[in-house]
Amino acid sequence: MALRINGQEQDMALETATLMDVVLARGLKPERVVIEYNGSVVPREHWFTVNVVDNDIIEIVSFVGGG
Amino acid sequence: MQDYLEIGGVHLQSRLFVGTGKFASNQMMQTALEASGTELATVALRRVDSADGAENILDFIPKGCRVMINTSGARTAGEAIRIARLAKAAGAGNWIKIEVVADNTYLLPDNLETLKAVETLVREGFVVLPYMSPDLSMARRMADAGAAAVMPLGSPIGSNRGVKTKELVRILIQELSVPVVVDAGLGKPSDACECLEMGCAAVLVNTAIAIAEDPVAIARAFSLAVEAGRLGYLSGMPAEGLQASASSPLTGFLHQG
Repeated sequence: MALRINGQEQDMALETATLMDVVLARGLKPERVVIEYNGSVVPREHWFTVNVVDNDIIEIVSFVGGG
Repeated sequence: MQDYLEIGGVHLQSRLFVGTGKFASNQMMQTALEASGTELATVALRRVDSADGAENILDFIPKGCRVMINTSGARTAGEAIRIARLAKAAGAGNWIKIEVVADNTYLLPDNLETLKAVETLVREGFVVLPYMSPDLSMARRMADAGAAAVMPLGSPIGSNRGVKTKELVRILIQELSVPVVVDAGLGKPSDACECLEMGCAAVLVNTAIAIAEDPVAIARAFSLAVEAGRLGYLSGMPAEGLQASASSPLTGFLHQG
């Protein structure tokens, strides 16, 4: 399955995967990141139930220093 | 005397807002923020691709200091709005600094895109503080759209050149009823003092503190400078004159007839 994550094409080896699987596969701590899924923010409590599909566009962001 | 700054229904005692970028470490940033006495710190959102570093910058914001997410990286109103929504979903509250920049050399804000983002985000219930070029018409439109303050630049971001836009900022202060906060370009405590003396409600400083040899010392210096400037403004400073006006009595002394 091919996803577009943070602007990069990514292949997921799994047949089915949730947003939580995507986060954990990248070694990210779920409580530290926020997800925009196909243009909409998805609350963390829904990450276990949203199944990603081919060509989904996912942004994963977190807080950094800034002015 | 009770003097505070009210933004979004919140009373701020400190008129120094501090950015959290460019510090050598989160620990240094935290100590500098504490020394500054700030009650409002800006933070950014960025894409994360791997688990680089276990630290969460929000854990290093001092207690009692509010966080305001900036939309840096946004080149259009639409991108700024998406960042604001992400920040809110992340539990960072609803204070947002809109920063829409489409110019990579000077990082000057795009006032038109910024205005569009203000209009949308105010409707969505955000407390919106737009970073802007000090243009009176645009500042008025942003205030009319519900901006909680306007934040004109003093000089380009990170340039440390001081408040080169002084004459335009002065007009905003005179003509607007929302707080005017000089954001960007302030390099020295005296720059911040100058802004407060002329009636700015607050200043936002990042680079000058973060990259100083001693960020903690300069954070304290900025805090004192902001307080001095504010007191000066409130004191009703006398007007400038071209001729001398003696401070000591000039008559009736040695050469008295």
